[in-house]
Amino acid sequence: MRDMLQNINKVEGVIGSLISTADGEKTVHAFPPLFDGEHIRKLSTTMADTIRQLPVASTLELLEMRYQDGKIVTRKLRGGFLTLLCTNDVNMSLLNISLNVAKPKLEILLAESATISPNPDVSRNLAERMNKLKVAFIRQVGPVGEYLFEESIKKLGTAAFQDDDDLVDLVDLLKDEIESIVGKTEFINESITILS
Amino acid sequence: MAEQNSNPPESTESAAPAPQAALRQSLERLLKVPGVTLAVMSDQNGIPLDDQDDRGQSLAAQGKVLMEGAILAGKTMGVGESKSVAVHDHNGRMLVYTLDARYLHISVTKDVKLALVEAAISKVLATGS
Repeated sequence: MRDMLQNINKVEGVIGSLISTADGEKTVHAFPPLFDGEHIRKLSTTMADTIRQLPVASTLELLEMRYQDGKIVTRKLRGGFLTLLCTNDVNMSLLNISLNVAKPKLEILLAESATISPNPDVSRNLAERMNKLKVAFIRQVGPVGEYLFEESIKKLGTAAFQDDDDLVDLVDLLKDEIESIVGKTEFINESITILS
Repeated sequence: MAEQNSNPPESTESAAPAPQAALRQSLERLLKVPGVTLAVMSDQNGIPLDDQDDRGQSLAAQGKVLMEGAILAGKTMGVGESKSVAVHDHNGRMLVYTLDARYLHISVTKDVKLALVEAAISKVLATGS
């Protein structure tokens, strides 16, 4: 799914994209690293809430929000939506054609990801690595790390932990809690080892 | 002098139309743009500034939801001030513009090119004609 998003991002003027379930809870994204997990989660839930409140929600096709410095374009999909962050000079005609082509494939991938139950081996593996990340984090910040770790997980939402990318988002949040540059660097390096 | 000033704007015979009348005139001009079926001006709470039927009130309420969502999404992604929102659905289109501290909500049919409608709307808003 991320590959599809990266292809959509190749349309000139598209900065990043995310695909989300209708409730905004489960997302896959391809945004530059500047946008962290918190940005993505907030954008996703905002779009989901906005769409849900519209009387035309069931017949909605496209939502285009225009700003001084860019656009946020949301295309409704079966079972969810696709949201793109674009510059103001994005070619909407070209973008619409790209989205028309991508839409059926994204809907299939979205349906598959919604129905596939988590593989127990993958879940166990994720849990193990999460635990290793926790230990590495506590090593840098001390006992308060236990609390900060749980808070970071809450921020991301438990439903978000489906694959490695979600762990990357977690590392992204945790690193910001480490004040010392040296500690931050050590944690990032250790995280890379744990996640690779 | 005090008595004159206490007169409501509607009762004076000045050349400038009263705010309510001017608003009605602007909205009527917008309705002449091909494809525009409804135009409503509201405050930021989605309350129409002139008398509106259920359809007008519903359009303004939807526009408020859209603008609130747009403002929050815009703040999250750092794209600056929210200007407008366009909604395309199976049955038609809707536009919401931020104008000072008010929202302009416009319903547009599906059979016209939205870019042309928006250009005509911009002209009306800029020149009043």
